Amino acid sequence: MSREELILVRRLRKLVVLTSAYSVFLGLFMIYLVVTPLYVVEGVIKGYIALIHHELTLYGTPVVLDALSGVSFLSISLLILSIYLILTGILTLYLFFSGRDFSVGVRWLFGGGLSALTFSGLFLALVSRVLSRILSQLSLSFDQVTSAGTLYLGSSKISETYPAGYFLSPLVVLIVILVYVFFAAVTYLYVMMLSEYKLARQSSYRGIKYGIVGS
Amino acid sequence: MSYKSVRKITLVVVLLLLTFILLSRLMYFPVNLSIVSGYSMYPTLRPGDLVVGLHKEITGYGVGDVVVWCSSLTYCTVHRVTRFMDAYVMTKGDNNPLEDPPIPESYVKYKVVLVVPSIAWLPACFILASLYLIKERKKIVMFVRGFTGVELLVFLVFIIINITLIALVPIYHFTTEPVITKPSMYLTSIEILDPGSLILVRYRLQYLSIISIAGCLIEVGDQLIKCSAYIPTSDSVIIVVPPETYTLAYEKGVNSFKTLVNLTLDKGFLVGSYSLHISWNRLGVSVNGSSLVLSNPNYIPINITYAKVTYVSYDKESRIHKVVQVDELKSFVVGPRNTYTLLVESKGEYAYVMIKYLLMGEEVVEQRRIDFS
Repeated sequence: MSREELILVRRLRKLVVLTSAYSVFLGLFMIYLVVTPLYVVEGVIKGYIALIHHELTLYGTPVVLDALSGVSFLSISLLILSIYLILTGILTLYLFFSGRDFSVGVRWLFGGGLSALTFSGLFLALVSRVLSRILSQLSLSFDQVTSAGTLYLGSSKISETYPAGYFLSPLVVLIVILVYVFFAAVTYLYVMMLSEYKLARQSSYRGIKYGIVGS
Repeated sequence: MSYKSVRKITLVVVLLLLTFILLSRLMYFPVNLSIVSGYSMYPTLRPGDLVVGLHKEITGYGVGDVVVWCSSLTYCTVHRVTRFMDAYVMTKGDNNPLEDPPIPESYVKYKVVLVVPSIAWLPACFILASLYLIKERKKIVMFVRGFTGVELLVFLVFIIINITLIALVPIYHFTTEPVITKPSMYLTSIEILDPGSLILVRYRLQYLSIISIAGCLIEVGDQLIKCSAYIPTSDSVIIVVPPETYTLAYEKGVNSFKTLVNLTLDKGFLVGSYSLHISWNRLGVSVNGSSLVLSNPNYIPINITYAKVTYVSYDKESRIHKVVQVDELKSFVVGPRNTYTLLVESKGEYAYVMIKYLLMGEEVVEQRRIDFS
C-alpha cells in the first residue's frame, strides 16, 4: 500500500466514524423536530402543534384542521428518513468497528444524504409555507364590532417553543443537512478513490503474476 | 392463471388506481379515490380510510351526503353537506364544531359512495407486497447484490415515497383563507313594544348563544337610568324600560335615548349600544258619532288641561245659531299609546269641543264639531 493510500485510509476511518455518528445525530434531530411541539397556541384556541401531531381546542372544543393533518401525513416521510439515517449510521459504525467492509454502509449513508437534501426542501416547504400559513390564521383576535355592538370573544396567540421552534429556521435546517451531505459525499469519494487504488493494485498484482504488460 | 398473468394484472390495477387518484383531481373523471388524512369526519371516516367517490353529475347529492370538494388541484376535502345557501354549499366535518366557510357549488366534485376502512386495505396491500417479496426473494437478493448504485437506489426510493405521499395527501391550498370560522352576532331588529315599557332586540347569532344579561342602562341626555332585561328566546333580549325614561326625555326635550346592554355569551360578552328615536306628536283627534276620540301616539301621558263643550242649537226658520249650553270639563289624562273617548251629550243641533294641552312646552288647542243629527 502506497503512502498516499495509507493517508486516505486513515482519513477515511475518521470520516466514516464522523459521518455515521452525524447520520445518527441528524436522524435524532429530525425526529426531535417532527415529534416535539414547535408551536404553542394560547387563548381561545389552545393547544400545541408538532409536525406529526397537533392538539387544538377552540373554546374548549377539540378542533381538527385538515390542513394540519395533511402536514402530519407528509411528515411521515421525514420520520422514515430519520429512522433510515439512524439505522444506517448505526449499521455503518457496527461494520466499521467489527472490522468488516463498511463501503456498503458509506454508500447507504451517501444515498441518505442525497435524500436528506431533497427532504430539506420538503421540510422547509412544510414549515415555512404551509405551517406558517396555517399558523397565521390561528393567531387572531375574535373581538369585533358588528351591528350588535362590540363583541369581546378573546384572541389567540402563537408562540414558538424553545428550543425546537428556533431550530426550525430554514438556515439552521439547511446547514445541518448540508454538513451531513458534505461529510457523506466526501466519505463516499474517499471510498471510491480507495477502490480505485485497490483495483489498480489488483491489476498490477495480476500483471506481475501473469506477466501481463500494459500498453 | 399463471403467476406472470397475476403479476401483470396486479401491476395494471395498481397503475389504474394511481391514475384514478391523479386524474380525478386534474380533470373530469367519473370515479375518484381519496385517502382521508384528518380526524374532521371521525368516527364516520378515519385517517387512512380510502373513499370512493362518483362524480356529482352521475349520482347527484343532497343534504346529509358526504362529498369531496376541491378548491384547487391539490386541496380537496371530504365533508358532509349540511345545507344549501343560494349558489353556495355549506359543509361540515362530523367531528368539527363549526361549519366550513361557504363553498361555491362548482367546488363539489364527487359524492362518496364507498368507504374502504384503512384496517382493510392497508393490511391487504401489506400482505400482497409481502407475498410478492417472499415469492421474488431470490431475484431481489440477486438484484441488490448486483446493483452497484445502492446510493442511487436509496435516493430513488425516498423520492418515490415523497411523490406518493404528496399525490395521496391533499396539500393545504395557499388561497383557502379561513381555517376557523369566527363566532359572531348581528342586530336584526330593535323595536319599542306598546305601550313603550318594553324594547325587543333581535339578533342573528353565529356559533354563539346568549347566557345572561350582565347589565342594562338607559341613557337619556346625560342621565343614566338602570333597567332590567330578560331573554325570551335564544336570539332576542327584552329590555324593560323604566317609566321615568320617557318622562325624562320629554322633560329634557330630547328625541332619542340610548339603551346600553351588556350580554354574557357562551364565548365572551357583548357591549351593545342602541339608539332609539322618539317623536313627540300631537294627539290624534277624531269624531266618532257623538264622541270625541283622542289618541296619544306618545310614550308619555298627555294631560288635557282644559276641555270645553259648547252646545249650539239652530233655528232653521230664522237661521240663527244659538249657544245652548257651555260645559267646562275637568282636566283628564290620555295614557301613553292609548285612546280616550270623550262622550258628548246630545244637546241642540251640534256642539264644539275644544281641548287644550301642553306639548314640549307649547300649548296646543284643538277644536272639533260634533253634529248630533
